[in-house]
Parts: sequence; structure tokens; C-alpha cells
Amino acid sequence: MTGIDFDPSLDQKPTSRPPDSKSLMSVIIGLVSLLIGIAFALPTALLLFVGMLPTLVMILIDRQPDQYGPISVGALNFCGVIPFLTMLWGGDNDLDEVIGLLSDGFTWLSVYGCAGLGWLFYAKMPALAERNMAWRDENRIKRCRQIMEHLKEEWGADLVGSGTDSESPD
Amino acid sequence: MCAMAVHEAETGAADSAAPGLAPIRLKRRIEILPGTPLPEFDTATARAFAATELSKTQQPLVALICDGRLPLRVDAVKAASGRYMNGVLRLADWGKVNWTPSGTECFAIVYERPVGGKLMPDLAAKTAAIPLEHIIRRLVDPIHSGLAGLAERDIVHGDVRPDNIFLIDAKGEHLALGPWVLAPAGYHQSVLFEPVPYALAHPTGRGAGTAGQDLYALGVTTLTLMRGSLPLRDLSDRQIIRRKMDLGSFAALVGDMRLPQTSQTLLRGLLNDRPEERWTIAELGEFIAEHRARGPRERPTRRARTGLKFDGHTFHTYPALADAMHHAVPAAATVIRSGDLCNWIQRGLEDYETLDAIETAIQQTAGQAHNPADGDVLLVARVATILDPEAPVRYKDWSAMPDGLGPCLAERIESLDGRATFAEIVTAGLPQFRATRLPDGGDAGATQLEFDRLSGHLRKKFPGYGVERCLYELNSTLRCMSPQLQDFCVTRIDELLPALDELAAAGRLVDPIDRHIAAFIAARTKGNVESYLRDLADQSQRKKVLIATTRILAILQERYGPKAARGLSGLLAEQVEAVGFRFRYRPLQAEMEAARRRLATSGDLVALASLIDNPDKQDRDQRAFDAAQNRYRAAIAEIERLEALRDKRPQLANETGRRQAAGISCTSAALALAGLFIVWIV
Repeated sequence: MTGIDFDPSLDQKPTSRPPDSKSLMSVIIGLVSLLIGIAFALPTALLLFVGMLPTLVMILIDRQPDQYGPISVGALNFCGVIPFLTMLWGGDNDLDEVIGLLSDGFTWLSVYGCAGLGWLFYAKMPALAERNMAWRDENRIKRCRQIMEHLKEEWGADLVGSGTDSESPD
Repeated sequence: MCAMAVHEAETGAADSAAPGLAPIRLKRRIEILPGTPLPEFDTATARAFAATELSKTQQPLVALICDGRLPLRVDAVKAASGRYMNGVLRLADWGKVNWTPSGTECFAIVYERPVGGKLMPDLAAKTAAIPLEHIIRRLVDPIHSGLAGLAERDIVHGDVRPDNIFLIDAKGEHLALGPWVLAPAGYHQSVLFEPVPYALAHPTGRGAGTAGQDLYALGVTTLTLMRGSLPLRDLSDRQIIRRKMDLGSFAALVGDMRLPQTSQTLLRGLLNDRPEERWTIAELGEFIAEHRARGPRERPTRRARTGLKFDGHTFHTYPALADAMHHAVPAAATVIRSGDLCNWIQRGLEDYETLDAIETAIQQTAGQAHNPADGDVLLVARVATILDPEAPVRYKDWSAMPDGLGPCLAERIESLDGRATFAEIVTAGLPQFRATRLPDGGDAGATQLEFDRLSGHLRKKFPGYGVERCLYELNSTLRCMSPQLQDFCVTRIDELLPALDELAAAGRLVDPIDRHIAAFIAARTKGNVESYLRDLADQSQRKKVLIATTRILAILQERYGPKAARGLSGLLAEQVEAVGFRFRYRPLQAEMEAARRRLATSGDLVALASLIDNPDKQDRDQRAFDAAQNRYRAAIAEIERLEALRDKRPQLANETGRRQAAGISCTSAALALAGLFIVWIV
């Protein structure tokens, strides 16, 4: 066998959903969550609201139906918020402590740095993927050409076309 | 061709006698002198040259160089070679020689050279009448001894006549029968010296001969010497035969000559027209010893009370009528179909068995022939056989005993008419028909089997069969008549490959297996080469033909040698290349090419055949080629697909990259949370 396999994923098309309904649902969920947080855990909600603002922004500005942008930013953004949430929950868990945390530059650097890293992934991975795909495809084409050359060396010119340019051995 | 050699000697005696022609050796013990012809020993099929034995005796010999047109009586040669028999010239040796005057290979039969000359220089000569007593003592006695010696070895002489009896010594005291194996028995005989049935046959068609024929010829020879000249010398062959038929041989030959009782007894015994009542060699011996023997028991030929007028003559006997019918077919057909013949038989002979047979023949022949003329010929041939079953098979211009059809065919193989007539004779089953009509049944079973087999060969048209196959089946000692082998004398199958190899090496072999060679191989080779012979027929399939050719020659090499046939292997290897015989897989092809080059010079035809006739390997090669072609096409398709994807790549990469980014982020988050959880627990 050639080792040349057809990659079916390359032909797959992105699934499409109505972007407006998804965004609206996300916003509704976010507002409901925020209201619940304000009502029952104001310090935590405040920290989350302020810390997760990049994700919120990403949700609002990303028009792609698959929401990979908010996921990329949000996952790392949340990672950046978690340590400070544990510090809040391990301490007094009141507004003063939240204000103290938010007034610390390191908190902003950590939380928004993580969100930035998520955005960086989101922004640069397509280019990286394209380069990788190009490299992979070119390698495949090169491999195919090598195989063709090898076959021609072994079987001669009859292999190309119908092979009717010479008499059959039998 | 040997005939060319002989022709050269015949037409250019000066050349043959020219000084400087080197002696030719036969088996290192006999030296033949091509520059010294001995025309007095020449025969119709061989030329004579002086020869000497390279022993202390240095006995003078005469070498007869055969022209090869007709089969040599090899079995008789082998049985007589080197043996001393009273009354017969000693056959000193025999074999093939490279006859340098023509550059061809010929059979040489070497006899002791009689110094006293012939008893009669030729059949037209006249001598003084010799008394019977003298003839019996000087001629009949030694010739009887000679014939007895030959009969002990199952040999028929077939050439007993005054100009083939020699005086061995200078004083002329001892007589001996001359050369006899150079052609089919009776070939050199005049009709005068043959009993009627054999006289009716063409000289090549007289069959293997019998001791009775020799005794009959001895009777005619005796009468000739008693008269001092040939009897009936002024008559044509047909007149002689007719006279013998009408009167019987004794009466016809003796005529009004007055003979003493002893002479009459001897001649009646030897010239009896019924083979079963003719004297045997033993009876002749008794007569010589005691001058008495069984009296002749002649039975007159059955004669009709009234004659049948046919073709200007009136006939009273079957044999004479049958002979006349053979020579006037349209008139004969009319007489048969009109019922005149049947009426004559019914009224004049009351022979109802013959009547029934003729009526059956008329019914069987109707519709069997393609046209009325052929129907007449076939009908007359059958009726002639019914009337005279002991006569030869007579059809168109052929007249031959069943065992003489082979030599007859050998003589006419180059003629299209001759070939066609032979095929008609066999296809019509005339030899079998004759065998069933013989009074004693003859050897009907064997004849039936043999000619049914030949008929089968004729039905197959591909090489190895047809008339050529019949030729070699009927003439087991005939040389291969292929035009390509005209310079060779190939009579045995083991001699074929060396001859072909020599021709191939000299670049003179065009078709290694032509129709003659194929038939020669098929007739002489034990074992089945039929499938390969069939393949030879399809000349449009050059590879198939080449494989079949190589296979057949390889079988010959394997069975009969020689181990190396470099001329043939070179030729076949060239043809392998020319035909484009190759594998598709190049390494295998390179391997094959190397093997082909090696085998071209090795002379191993068996290996060459295995190299090119390997269907499994070729099948695997073809299947692998098909698979490789599929791989090649798949590679092309893959390249096209990938190149088609090039334009879509940014879009796909965007999708994929963003998905991967989300994946990396989620994975990182999960890892961070897990780490934090662990730290929190600890």
C-alpha cells in the first residue's frame, strides 16, 4: 500500500448555528448568574465580574458560531481568577478584601495575563495550523511523487496510462 | 540434398572423376573414392563409387550413394550388414557420409565389389541359351541359398533379375544377388519380374515384398537364361500384364517355347500366380537336391461363360476387367451404374456375393463424393477392389499396395495433386476396404486401425498432422523431407536436433519447426507434444508459437541430446528478444535478460523453455503490475486532491486553529484547577 490515506476531516465543513440566539443565551445566562451572585455572594461575584471581563468582552465581540474565542479566553481567564477566589474564600470573603485584591496590580496582571494568553492562542493558532497543514500536505505530495517515481523505476513507462504501448507479457 | 549429390555425379562424371576429390571415410574403416565412379553398379536411386576396406585385406568394395528420395530399407540393412551369405553380395557396411562433392549428407551402402561383371549387362541384352542343368547348378542353387539366408533374417530381396546378378570372381564361377536395400522392394523391377498384383502397382507402391515375389522373379530370370533373352520383350508393360492375366504367368511367359518336363516343373512351381500355391524356398531346395518337388496345383482363374464388352475389349475374368476399369473410369462408371456389370456377373458367373458387394458399393458411394466425377472415381476404385481384391489400391493415378502407399507418398509429397489424392484414398477408406475384401481376410484389423489413425491425422490441419504426418508414419525410415534439411539425412529423431543446431549456427534456419519437421517429430517422438503442436498453428500469436517451438525442441534435447545446442539457443534467444518477451517488473526483466543472454550461449534449451514458459510467474507479474498501476493512480489522485485543497487551506486552518486554541486553553485550565485542588487538599 502507498501509505497515502485520505483525511476525511479536511473535507468537513464547520457546523453553523444561528449566532444571534447563542449570544443572547450567553448574555442571559451571564446576567442571571450575576444577579444570583450579587444577591447571595457579592464579593465573589464582584471578583468574578471584574476578573472575567475579558471573557465577557470576547463573548460580546466574537461573531463565530462555534464560540472558540470565548472558550479560549474564558478557560485561561478563569484559571487566572481561581487563585484569587481561593484567597477570598480562605480570608474574610467581604468587599474590603475584594477591593484589596483588586487594588493589587499583581492580581490584574495575573488575571488579565491569563486571559491575554488565551487570546494569544486564539489569535495565533490558525496561522500555526495553516503552516502545519501546508507542511503536512507538501510532505504528502512529496511522498506521493516519490512513490510514483519508484513505481516508474520498477515498472517502466507502461505504468503511466493504459500500458498499451507494449505487448502484454502473456 | 542427396539427390543433388547423385545428380551431380550423374551429370558431371568428369567432375566426379576429377583428381583431387579426397576420399571419404565411412566409420573409419572404409574409404570411398568420389573421384572413381563405377557406373556399371549404378541404380535408379543410387550412384556407385569405388571403395576400399582399410584393413589388411584391402578388399575392393563398391559404395552406393543413395539419393534419399525414397526410404531406405534400414531394417534389412541392419539385418544383413557384415554377414556372409552364399548367393548374396556381402553388405560390408553402411552409414551416413558427408558427401563432399555436393556438401550434403547421404546414406552410403557398401557392398563387396564383384569382379566378374553382371550376368546380363542389361535386360535388353541377348545371350546364348543355357541348358537347364547348368542354370540350376550355377544360378538357381546359389540364388536359392542366398534367398534362404535372407529369409532366415526376414529379409526380402526384391531385386532378383538377370542384370542384378553378379559374377563374384573373375572366372565367373560364383554368382550372387546384387544390391537390394536401396529402395522399397520391387522398386527397380520391371513388371515382367513381378507377379500380376504387384506388377499392377506403381514401382514405389509394391509394398514390403514377399519371398514368393523373389521366387517368382527367380523363375522369370531362369526362363530368360533358358531363352537367352527376356520373354515378351516386345510388349509394353500393360500388354505384359494383360497377357499374364489372360493366360497365367507360366503360359504367358513361356509361350510356345518347348520345355522339358523338369523345366516345366520348375517354372510352373515358381511362376504360379497364386501365392499360396507358388513354391516356397524349402520346396525349391527339394527340387534342386532331388529334381523333384510338389507338382504344380494350378487352379484356373474363374471365367465367365459370356464376355463383357467394355472399352473395346471383351472380358471374361474379374482381374482383367478391374484393370481395364481403372484405366477408363467414366466408361466403367457407366457400366456399373447402368447395371450391365451386375447383369454380366449374374448371368455369366452367378457370383451373388460379388453382386451384393457391388450394389452396396454403389449405395455407399452415392452422396459420399463432392462431385459426380469424384463419385465415379471412388465407385470404380471400390468396384475394382471388389472384383480383384489382391490387386493394389487403385485410385486416380495411384496404384499401390496398402504397405506401399508410404513410399508412393514419399515420391509425390512435393506434388499438390499427389498429396490430395493420397488424402482422398485414406479418407475414403480404400485400404481398409481392400483388406476386408481379401479372401483370407488379410490383416484387416491392423490395416483398419492404421488407416483410421492416419485418417484422424489428415483431419487435423495444424503442424504435426496432415499429409506430412502420414508420410512419416508410413515411412519409418524416411529422412525428414523439410526443405531446410535438404543438406542433411535426418532419419532418426536423435539426429534432428544436431542438424537444426548446425543450420541455426550457420544462420540458415528460418523456421525451426516447419510442417515437415513438426510431423517428423510427432511421428518419431514417444510422448505427447500435441498441445505444443496446436500452439504452432496460430502464427498470429508469436509468443505462443515461440514457446511451443522452444518447448518441443527442449523435449528433444532432454530426451535425445545433445546437451548443448548453442546454435538453436542463440537463435531462439534472439527471437525471444525480437518478440518482446518480457516481464513488466523491471528487476525481474533484468534478471530474465541476464538469463536469456547466458542461455543464448549455453545451449540449454530446457532452461530457455523454462525461462519463457512460466505462466505462474507471468501471472504474478501481471497481477503485481495491476496493483502497481493502482498505487500509481492513487498517488496521482492524492496529489490532485491535496493541490485542490490548497485554496481552501486558510479557511480550514482558521477553523482548525481556533478549535485547537480552545482545546489548549481548556486543557491548560483543567490542569491548573487540578493542580490548585491538589495544593488545596495538601
